[in-house]
Amino acid sequence: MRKQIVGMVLAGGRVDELSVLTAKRPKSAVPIWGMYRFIDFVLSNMMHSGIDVVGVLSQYRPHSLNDHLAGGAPWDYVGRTRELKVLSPYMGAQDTDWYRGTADAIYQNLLFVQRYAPDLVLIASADHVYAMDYRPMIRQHLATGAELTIALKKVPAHQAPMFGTAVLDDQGRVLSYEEKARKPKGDLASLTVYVFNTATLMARLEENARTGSTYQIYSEVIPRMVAEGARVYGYVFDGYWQYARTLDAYHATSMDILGPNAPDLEAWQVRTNLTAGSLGDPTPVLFRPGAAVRSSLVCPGAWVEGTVESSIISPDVVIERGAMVRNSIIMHGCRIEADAFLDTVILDKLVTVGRGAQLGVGKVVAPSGRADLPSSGVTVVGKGTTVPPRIAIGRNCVIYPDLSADVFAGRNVPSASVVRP
Amino acid sequence: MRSARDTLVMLLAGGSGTRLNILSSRRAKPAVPFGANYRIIDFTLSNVMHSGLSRVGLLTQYKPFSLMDHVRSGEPWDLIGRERGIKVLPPHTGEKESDWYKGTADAVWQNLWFMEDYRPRKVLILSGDHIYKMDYESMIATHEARGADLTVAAMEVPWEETSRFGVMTCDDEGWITGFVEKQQNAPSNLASMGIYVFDYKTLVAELEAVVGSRQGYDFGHDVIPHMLGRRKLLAYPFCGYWRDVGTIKSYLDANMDCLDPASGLDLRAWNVCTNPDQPGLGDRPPVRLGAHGRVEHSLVAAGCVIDGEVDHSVLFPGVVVAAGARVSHSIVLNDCRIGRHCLVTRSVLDKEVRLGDGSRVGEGDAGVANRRFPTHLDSGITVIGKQAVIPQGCRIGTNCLVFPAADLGALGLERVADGTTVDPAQPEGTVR
Repeated sequence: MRKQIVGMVLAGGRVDELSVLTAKRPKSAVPIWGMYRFIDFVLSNMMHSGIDVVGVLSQYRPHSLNDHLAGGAPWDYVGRTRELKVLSPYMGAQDTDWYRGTADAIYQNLLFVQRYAPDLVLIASADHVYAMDYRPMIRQHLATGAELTIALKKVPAHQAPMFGTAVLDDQGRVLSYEEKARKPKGDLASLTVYVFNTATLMARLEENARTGSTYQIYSEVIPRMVAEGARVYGYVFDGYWQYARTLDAYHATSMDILGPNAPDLEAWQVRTNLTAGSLGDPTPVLFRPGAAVRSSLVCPGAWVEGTVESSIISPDVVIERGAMVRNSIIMHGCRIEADAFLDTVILDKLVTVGRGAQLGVGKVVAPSGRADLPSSGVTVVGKGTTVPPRIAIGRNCVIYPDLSADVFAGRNVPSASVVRP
Repeated sequence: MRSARDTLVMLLAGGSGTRLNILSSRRAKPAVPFGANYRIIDFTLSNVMHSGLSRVGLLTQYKPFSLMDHVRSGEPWDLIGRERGIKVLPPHTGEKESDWYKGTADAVWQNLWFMEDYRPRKVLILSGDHIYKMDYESMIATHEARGADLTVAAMEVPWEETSRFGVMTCDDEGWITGFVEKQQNAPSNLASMGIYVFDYKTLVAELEAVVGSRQGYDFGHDVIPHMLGRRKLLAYPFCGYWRDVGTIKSYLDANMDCLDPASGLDLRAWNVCTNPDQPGLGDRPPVRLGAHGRVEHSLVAAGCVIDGEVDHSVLFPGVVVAAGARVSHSIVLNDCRIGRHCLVTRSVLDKEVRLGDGSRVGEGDAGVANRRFPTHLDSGITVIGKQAVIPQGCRIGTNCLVFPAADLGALGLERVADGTTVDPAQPEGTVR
């Protein structure tokens, strides 16, 4: 069946800076804002934009992502004329192997695209939080006669070096494009949302497969197209968009939802898979006698007896009597026992915090020379770890996943340190 | 798992729940919302799922649309697949003997053709009206082990309530020796829960004898008494949490039981499933608590935004409680908006009610029963109908009933006295 446009979602990247949060899942499957995962945003955007055939490119530890996608049903991708297909690396054809980069990943799955013979392919990363209607961008792409249109957003000059940046002429055509330049010429950052003419995409990817070295769209395909004078245009988007590339940024982006200018999740109509990972349905939130919760987001299935301030409480979390949670992100199924204290902490899923334990206490100590530690004061505990009762853990700490209580040997953990097996 | 060939489920979901008044005026009782996320029928369907039963006939009659939207094709309870399914069985015409269902037994009898498709060895007959957790598998296994023709689930009820139930007497081994339906001066306080396991051949023969001959149409009233002394009738004792939420008071009380697992109603442990895509529930964001929010001893569904105080209450999806407002001992259904400095106490607000700033609902003398519905509203609870509009500063007393979509501002009502019904079609004091 012919489609005007097919969506391709880049969902396989790990993003090393997220440390223990991406120890066993790609960035796209990291939970955010209680009940969502990063990939929910791009899939909801595609659904609301009428793109009804989507390929999801996955590679790094795809299992939790695959469970979450559930064949696409939560985003209404199940039907005779609609499809969501997970495109994993495969063996058996001549050119196939692990995906060497984003361009290679799409190149290896061109057969999926060709089945629908689309005029256009929209490629978007699953690593970002944003609500965007792609239709005006597609209309602009057709109106300008572009071969490629890149979504861009103006960012503060000091952030520009973290992104691919473009300079546009007054017609919106890209004059120059640089990837993570030290001193970028422009302040329009790429959102990793591209609309390609299918013919252009196929020709450019074939060329890249023969001659490339990084096999990345952003660092090879786009710069080369711009250098060769191809018709590359920019589409400027000015809504909320966050990357959350580091643990500090993840904490800050999470807290945006509690702030005065919080994105309106109801208006965004972000869809997620409500049932993945749990046999039954989450119950409504139960606020027990003694609960005191304010300026927070609390998800179904939570059970709260303690005090919660400025925090995000995910499904099936239990917060016992006398416990205090502040400025923190508590992911699915965590248990915070009585009288525990947490300040500016991220708990990945299924963490148990023992009675009276204190996490995120003491002075903020800069992690000198340690790129693997947060610096804003946030302490992170990996999935499934048990923090024993009554110990204290400082700030800017990273605690590895799946640690049993005896790994801590009853000792406190000073600020800016790592606990690993 | 029990296949349809082994045990078929016939679920009676046609009840109108008259005493729930406006809460069930546009939906069948099994479709009445309950416990912030659920509808009453979810409890029975979850029991079916957790008991490993696989095929269900759903008998509908009274206003079935909300119910059908909710049940869909049964996938929320895993009743979809080659060997699993749920089939809606509405009343139908065009065959001999078909008509509106005249009673529980008649409803099953009129769907004999459905049961014949599977020729089950046993039929489990359930109602969708009750809040409880029960393992039907254990009841069916007992029925088989004891070689009964009919097994009736039974529980002890307070003596003063026996007149509301079918009541049985048993011998020492649990065989039923007597059965009377809804009588004063009952001989026992062992009440039928309306849950029956029938040997299929027995069921067909007895329905033919009783319903087929137009002697009677009801299991409790007609069929079971007819079987007494001729068939092996076993009582299956049950002693857990079970509530017939048939009145406004029992509806409020059972909702409040959700707040404390010690009541016996433990939503988590029971693993109650519902249709997450049902209109009004799917894709709601998490609960948002504002800087002035304070919620204690309450059950709150997704999509609520709370900046006021809430205690001893059940809030359904999308309820907004503005700063300075207080909601206590109340049930607030989907998407109600409670303005600043409102007070809501001992009240049930149906969906999409609007309370203007500073309005107060449910304050007054609980002793004044509702004048138009004295048996429905006599315990102090006020009920506000779906999409009613209560203007700023309006005061509504106890035992009041505001009809769906009534706009008190347009009606010029600033005060509604205890025990008053606001029905735009029939203003209080007028006689039709």
